[in-house]
Amino acid sequence: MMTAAVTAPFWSLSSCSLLPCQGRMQWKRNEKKRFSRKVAFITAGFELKPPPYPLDALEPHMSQETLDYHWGKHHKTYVENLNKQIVGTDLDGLSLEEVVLLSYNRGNMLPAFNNVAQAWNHEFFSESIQPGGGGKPSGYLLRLIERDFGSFNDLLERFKAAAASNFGSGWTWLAYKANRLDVANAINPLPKEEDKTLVIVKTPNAVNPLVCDYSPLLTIDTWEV
Amino acid sequence: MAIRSLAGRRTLTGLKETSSRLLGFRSIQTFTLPDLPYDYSALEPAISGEIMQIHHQKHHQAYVTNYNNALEQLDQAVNKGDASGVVKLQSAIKFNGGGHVNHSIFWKNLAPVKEGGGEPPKGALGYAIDTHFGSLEGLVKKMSAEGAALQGSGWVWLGLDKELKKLVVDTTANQDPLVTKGGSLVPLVGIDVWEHAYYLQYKNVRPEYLKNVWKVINWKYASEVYEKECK
Repeated sequence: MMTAAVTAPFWSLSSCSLLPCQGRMQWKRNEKKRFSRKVAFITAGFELKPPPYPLDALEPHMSQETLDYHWGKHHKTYVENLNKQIVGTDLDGLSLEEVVLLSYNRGNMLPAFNNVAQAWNHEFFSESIQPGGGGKPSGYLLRLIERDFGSFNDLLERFKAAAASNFGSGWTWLAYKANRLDVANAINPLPKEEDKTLVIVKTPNAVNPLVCDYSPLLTIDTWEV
Repeated sequence: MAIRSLAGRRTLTGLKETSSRLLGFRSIQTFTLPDLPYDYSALEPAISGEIMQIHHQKHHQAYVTNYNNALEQLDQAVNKGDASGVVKLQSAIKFNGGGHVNHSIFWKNLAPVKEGGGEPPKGALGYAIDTHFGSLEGLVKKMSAEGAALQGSGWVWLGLDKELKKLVVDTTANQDPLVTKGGSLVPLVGIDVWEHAYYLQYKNVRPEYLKNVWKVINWKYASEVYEKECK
């Protein structure tokens, strides 16, 4: 049965809450409780990871100047401000994903969310693109794409349409949705193989699909810069 | 005989309007890009000519074009009784229509220095600003701070609350017009803090843009709007 792939506008769903749920988030929370936070450890703060290629390697598709600003200024500022914001707080010492999820706070975002989510998004974006990239996916991913979108070209068309219609600042994602219904804060009580699909997701500003327990596969930054 | 002469007309629009009139449908009012009352380079060095040209000819024009398209589609959906089609169009209308409304105000909010840009407001508005914010500097500081802190894309506004008869500073996201924050709010001064409004010149340093834009703000227009609404 071909599952119709959904361009999931979950952003219009008002709260996509962090319920005890299937998937990796549950495991991470339990792990946190086992370790005593009283043990003194050095918090190094988050580092600005450079993209895994030189800044001029994406020419002519993306100029070095773009990467200089995008990584060297925007991404750097997010990381620096994030470190300043969370040092000494409860969020200090956690992984980037944990801070994203905790500061999302079920839609009632804490001040750190903007910086941490943008830091995560930009790091993910750096890895979503590469010199000599492009082409087509293969193997299992291609089969899933063909199952959920019909064909690779259909995916491209839907993705481009979604990105072009993502008003204002935001990101457009290809993500893997497992065990979740299309309705926010609903856990699928009878998860089936058909529920696991690829989806295209549009998010506003700094939000990313981690907050809804989707697994992002790739992203395009649709902020103006 | 009138119908024969109408049928003889070659222009499609003429025929469309006439048949609309005959059938009793009103054709929708579309919008055009307003002209700027100054040259693109007239606001330098506060805002570069390059930005003004792209902002006006590309961004604002795109909002106008897409707004007109959305209105056409809305008209068709309304006439067909397509309720879900009508609702689906709302976000495109809000975004593009808002973009047109906001930018039309913005061009009037700016003026070259030699035409009074940057000159502090006098009269009723000047007095109201001093009363509500202590001084013009106080207002500028507040608006610049809120504009700099706005996440993503949006606008920072000085508005008049018609009902409460007071000035307010507020922000809106994306292209939401000020009325979405309150039905009685009238925009007096709006500053576009989308990246396209400043990036080519100020790069990522939005606060620098917000420091300099005040040098070309047209307080005369804001005063006119204020006095009109206060009557």
